[in-house]
Amino acid sequence: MKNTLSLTLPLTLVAMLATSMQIVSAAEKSYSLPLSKPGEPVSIDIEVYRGSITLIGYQGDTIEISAKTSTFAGKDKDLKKVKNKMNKSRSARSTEGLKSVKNSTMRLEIEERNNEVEISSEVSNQHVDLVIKVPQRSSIEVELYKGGDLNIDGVNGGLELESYEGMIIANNISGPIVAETARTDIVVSFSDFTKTSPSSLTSHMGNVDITLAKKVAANVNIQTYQGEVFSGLDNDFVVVDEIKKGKKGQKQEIVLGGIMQAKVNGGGQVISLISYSGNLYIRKGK
Amino acid sequence: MFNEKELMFQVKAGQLDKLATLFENNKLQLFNYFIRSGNSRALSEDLVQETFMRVLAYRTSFSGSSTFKSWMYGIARNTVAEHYRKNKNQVLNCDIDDEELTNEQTLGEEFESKQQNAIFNQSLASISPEDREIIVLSRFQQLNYQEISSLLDCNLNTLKSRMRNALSKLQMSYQKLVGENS
Amino acid sequence: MKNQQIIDWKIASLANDNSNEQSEELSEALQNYLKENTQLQEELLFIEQFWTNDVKPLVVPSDKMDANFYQMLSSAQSTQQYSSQQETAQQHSSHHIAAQEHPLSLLEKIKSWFMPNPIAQFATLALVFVVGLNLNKTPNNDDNNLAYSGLQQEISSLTTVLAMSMLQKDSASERLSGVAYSRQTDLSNPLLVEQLIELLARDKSTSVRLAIINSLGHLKSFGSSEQRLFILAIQEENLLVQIELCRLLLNYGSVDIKKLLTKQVNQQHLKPEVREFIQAQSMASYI
Repeated sequence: MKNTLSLTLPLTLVAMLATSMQIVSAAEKSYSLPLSKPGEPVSIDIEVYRGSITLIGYQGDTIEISAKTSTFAGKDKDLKKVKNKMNKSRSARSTEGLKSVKNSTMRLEIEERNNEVEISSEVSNQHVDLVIKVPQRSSIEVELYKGGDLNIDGVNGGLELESYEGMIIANNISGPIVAETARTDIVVSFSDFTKTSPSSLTSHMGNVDITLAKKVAANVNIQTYQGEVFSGLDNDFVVVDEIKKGKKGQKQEIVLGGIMQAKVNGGGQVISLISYSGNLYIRKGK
Repeated sequence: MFNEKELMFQVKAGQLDKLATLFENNKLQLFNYFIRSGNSRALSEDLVQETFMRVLAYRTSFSGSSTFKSWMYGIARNTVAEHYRKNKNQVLNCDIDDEELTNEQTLGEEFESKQQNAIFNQSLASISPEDREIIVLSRFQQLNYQEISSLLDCNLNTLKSRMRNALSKLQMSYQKLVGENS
Repeated sequence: MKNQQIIDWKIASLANDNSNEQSEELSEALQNYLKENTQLQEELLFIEQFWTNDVKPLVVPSDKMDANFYQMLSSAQSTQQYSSQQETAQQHSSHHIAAQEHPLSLLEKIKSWFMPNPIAQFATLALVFVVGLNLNKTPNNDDNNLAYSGLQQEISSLTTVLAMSMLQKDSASERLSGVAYSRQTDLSNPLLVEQLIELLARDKSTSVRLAIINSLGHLKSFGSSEQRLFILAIQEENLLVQIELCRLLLNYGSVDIKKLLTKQVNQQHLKPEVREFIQAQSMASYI
């Protein structure tokens, strides 16, 4: 027992030190991006390798970006070291009388053209926390690979979201929304639900949790293999997957993974909730 | 003033944007045609959409042998027939009450006119659909006899006779209603 | 006979019909005649009142009707644009030769249409002409059924075209719409099925791919696509897509493909979760 304690303590210290060492340098900047065609539809494309993204819909007509970057010096568990650092092959030169300069530059690319906005941070060792205010009507496409979560609030346009490591949380939206995560949860709250085109929330191992405002009319399709389903809706979920083919005297059953559907407020556009092992939650809002 | 036939030929040739002009020019009348034929507001809107979808789909078959309006109403009639064929259990209802609400006339002499209007509408609703159609196409959709005869595929004299017949039935119905109301 | 002519004239003059040929001289004779015919007078008066009665204000449709129309038009225009770009790109391909066989200049004009394959264009065009001819004839009762079923086919054709155009859109939600449209057509068009399978193989959105698999379940038979779907299933990296493909083939595939799939279970090509699923399915279903 004693031996274990004395061993774990130094390990914890090392871990803490390692964490603190990740925040080597930070930079924070704000940008206000005007639109070429104010009042007209806006489409925003965001690609971040590592970081967190918060998008807030507002009544204004410019894109307000606030970015905070830091260098990530940790290790990605899923990446193997392929190449050795170049430095090792070079002999270091004298640093006498010189100070070490911290690299506090930020690599963030922002482009706007005819109301089409592109924001990207593709440097693998840069962690960027983005907080962006966008016109409510914006259509947004986001790809977030590593780091933190993707948060969206109050955006009425179409959303196409992919988060590999973090959660996707969207509030006060009306769709259409197509979102995908691997292991993390997708949590969406609809204040309204558009009829334009279908929505779909897919997570391989994470949970999918939606809340529908009272006035929302929709056809909710659910599909999960190993997860459970919890519903607060008035109507029951019924199986919609039919076996159309099947010879006489034969019988086929769908045991796992079939689609079930429930209509909300008489039915409307389709929203599909799909997960392999995560649970599905369908809640009624106020 | 543009020529609708010309525009439709342009649509046929691929200038799809010209369809917008044809839509704007005819949408109100077409919508009211469906309403007068006894359909609800919502259904009439769907039928307008369906009709123009078909106008777009069938644009290659527009030959110009009739006017655009005549051709369009032909499609409109088929659209309605197709709808009712698919929904046999739906009853054709005439929203007489709704129609009265949209009438902006109110007092005095105008009241009398409103009364008369309502009775005209009621008598229109009470005659057979075939008779009603001829009157609606001529009186309200303002198609001329040439257009209507090609639309309904009957010759001019038959059409005139059918029109006289329809109006006589309308008159009888009207007189009956006036008698009931007074 | 004379009464009828008078009524005809009255209607025509009210409707401002161009075929109205009455001259002014007749109106005097007409007036004299009418004095002796009260019933005719009443009829004419009624017709006049009905025709000149103030038309009540027209009922105004909602904005939604306009919006729907313009959305449809915009969709049609963008497909037309896309297809004409495709056409230009394919100018030197062998398909161009097939297209040139069509002699009518009219066909040439509408070559830049919805569907990418000129042969398919011609098929749809032929259908439209046939249906269009039926419409213009304004048929009697016997031909009605033919026209209506022709209309139905045409609507299905139009939905196919819409589906194919939506499936090419950049936004995943619009592609989902395309899949939904394709389901409405009963997947009778082989080009559409081909496009769906192509998209299933390479679409970046899992949601779209899963929706396509569900849609393919409505096919009457997979035909030659079965092998392709099987290979896709075996090589698939995405767990949800792999398991759904297996479910599709187990539920709707031929006996041979089912045997093949269960064989694979033993060969460890599939993810463990999928293997587990197939085993469970095999136990639950019996042929």
